[in-house]
Amino acid sequence: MISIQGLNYFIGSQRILQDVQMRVVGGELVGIIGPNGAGKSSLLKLISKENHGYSGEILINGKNLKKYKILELAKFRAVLPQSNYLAVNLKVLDIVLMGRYPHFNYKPSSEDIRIAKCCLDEMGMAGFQERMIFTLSGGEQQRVQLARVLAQIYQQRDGILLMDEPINGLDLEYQQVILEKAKDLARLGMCVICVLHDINLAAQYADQILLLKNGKVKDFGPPEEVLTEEAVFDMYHTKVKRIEKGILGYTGILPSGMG
Amino acid sequence: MIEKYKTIFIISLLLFLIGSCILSICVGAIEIPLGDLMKIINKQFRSNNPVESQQEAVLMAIRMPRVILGLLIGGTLGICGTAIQGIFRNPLAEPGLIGISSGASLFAVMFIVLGNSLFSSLTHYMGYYALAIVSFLGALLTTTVLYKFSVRKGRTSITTLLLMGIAINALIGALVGLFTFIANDEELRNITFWNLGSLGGASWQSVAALLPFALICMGSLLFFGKPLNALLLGESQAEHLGINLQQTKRTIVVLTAIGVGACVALSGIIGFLALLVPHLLRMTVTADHKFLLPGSVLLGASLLVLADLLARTIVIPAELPIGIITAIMGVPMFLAIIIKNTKEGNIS
Repeated sequence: MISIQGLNYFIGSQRILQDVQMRVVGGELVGIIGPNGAGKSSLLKLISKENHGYSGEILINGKNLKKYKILELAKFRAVLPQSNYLAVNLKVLDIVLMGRYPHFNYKPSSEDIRIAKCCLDEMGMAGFQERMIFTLSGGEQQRVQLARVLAQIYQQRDGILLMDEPINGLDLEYQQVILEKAKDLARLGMCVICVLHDINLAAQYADQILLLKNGKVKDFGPPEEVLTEEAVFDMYHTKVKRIEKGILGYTGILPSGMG
Repeated sequence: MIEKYKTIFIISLLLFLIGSCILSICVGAIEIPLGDLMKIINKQFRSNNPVESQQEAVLMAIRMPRVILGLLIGGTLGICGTAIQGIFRNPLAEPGLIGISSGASLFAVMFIVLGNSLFSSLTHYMGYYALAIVSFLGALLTTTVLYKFSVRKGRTSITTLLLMGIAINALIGALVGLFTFIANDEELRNITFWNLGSLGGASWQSVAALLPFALICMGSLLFFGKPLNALLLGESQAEHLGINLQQTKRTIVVLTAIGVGACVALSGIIGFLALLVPHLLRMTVTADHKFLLPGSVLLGASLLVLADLLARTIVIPAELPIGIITAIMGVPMFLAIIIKNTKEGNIS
């Protein structure tokens, strides 16, 4: 469970987040959406303990985030960053095994290796484990990184998964595969928070949507309540038509021109 | 599959090292054929024949300590290069280029010139150890300064790093020049030796002086495979994987300073070896630090022992400074890396 109370965050004198409240219970997938510069990635970086210096309180599974040791947190919380810049060429399986780093000391156990292979398989990359990462396409590399993140919190019921734009550079099939996977993890009992640019994907997969604009929470609730035509116009200054849940199985949003 | 491949590579590196050592022990101004080498070694354990041949004297008093010193220095520089490139996340970080070695040498030179008058009791009691410790402090100081200035938000600015290296090297060059000016003849000879690098001063005492520093440095750095691998994903990802970055970096900086400092104290500045070794391994085998760290000890040791063999045999009976040999081996590699990085847009 993640519970955030009165979160304020400044970079220099610039206010990035203002009085953010939110509560995510295990079993939920929360989509954070909002225009560029709304503070989405900053919020995620605070929850992942990557950035510090905020005021307010972030509780993870009932314990203050500041009281967690880095390793303790790494055992059940995985983060997929926006860009996955890799300094050198490594073997795919070695990269996925890094996801098991919090769980072994020096040498991975056969169980760690089994988990890594299993996660690669789930990302449709089973045949790639011996390949070098730079020989793969951008989308394939992204799937390898996802497999690494999955391996880190493999079957942790109280696990937490934070993803910043996980579907960047992925084709239609893998956009669905990855969010479906995220949804599965949520169903297993994990908290999944996902920054998304695509409103429709957020509407399709998220249980709750957090609308963020200028560092403030505009709304927080189920997609069909939050994603009104007015709210979307207010966020993006773009006229949209809303497609009701009955047709697609989720609330769809289609742009119909600038306002 | 790949694991087996890495083991095979480590074994071949080990064999290469043993070969280099035997070759280096046997060849020189006085040749010691393999058969004689065996006889002499055998004799050491029985010692019922007190008469020493010339070969035996050369072997035990000169060749052996020199090869062992080469081994220790090469291994230490190799692993330090790998570790420094790992924490700076940059293939161009090399103790010589970015000024760590010169920081160590400045302190060493200062100690030589001022030591006799200021710390005469210290030099008297601690000898080589005092010099090694002082050089370690110099290396530690420059590494800390470099890190503070060139790493911003977890990314190393290559430009800043190399410019800092140029600045530090220039400043230290000037200061060393100043000390040369006030040094007497004997001190002058010692200083010259520092700037060119040589294993010519090898003796059992110098081996004993280096041994604890080299073992601490190499022995501890070998355990950093996991954090250095995680760093390949970037600093924030490494933290998300549970690596305590601040502690890791601080420990590596101190261990590298211990290693480089002690090496500089005993052999002067031996450039480019620390750059060459990790690159050769990364290109031929893998960038996995669990292999890279032990591999760079073995390859560094072999290459330095061979470089020293060249340095002392090319112009018999004189000797070339070993820095010349390592630079000739290393500079083309350095240029190749710069060209490759420029093409990939990593340097602008």
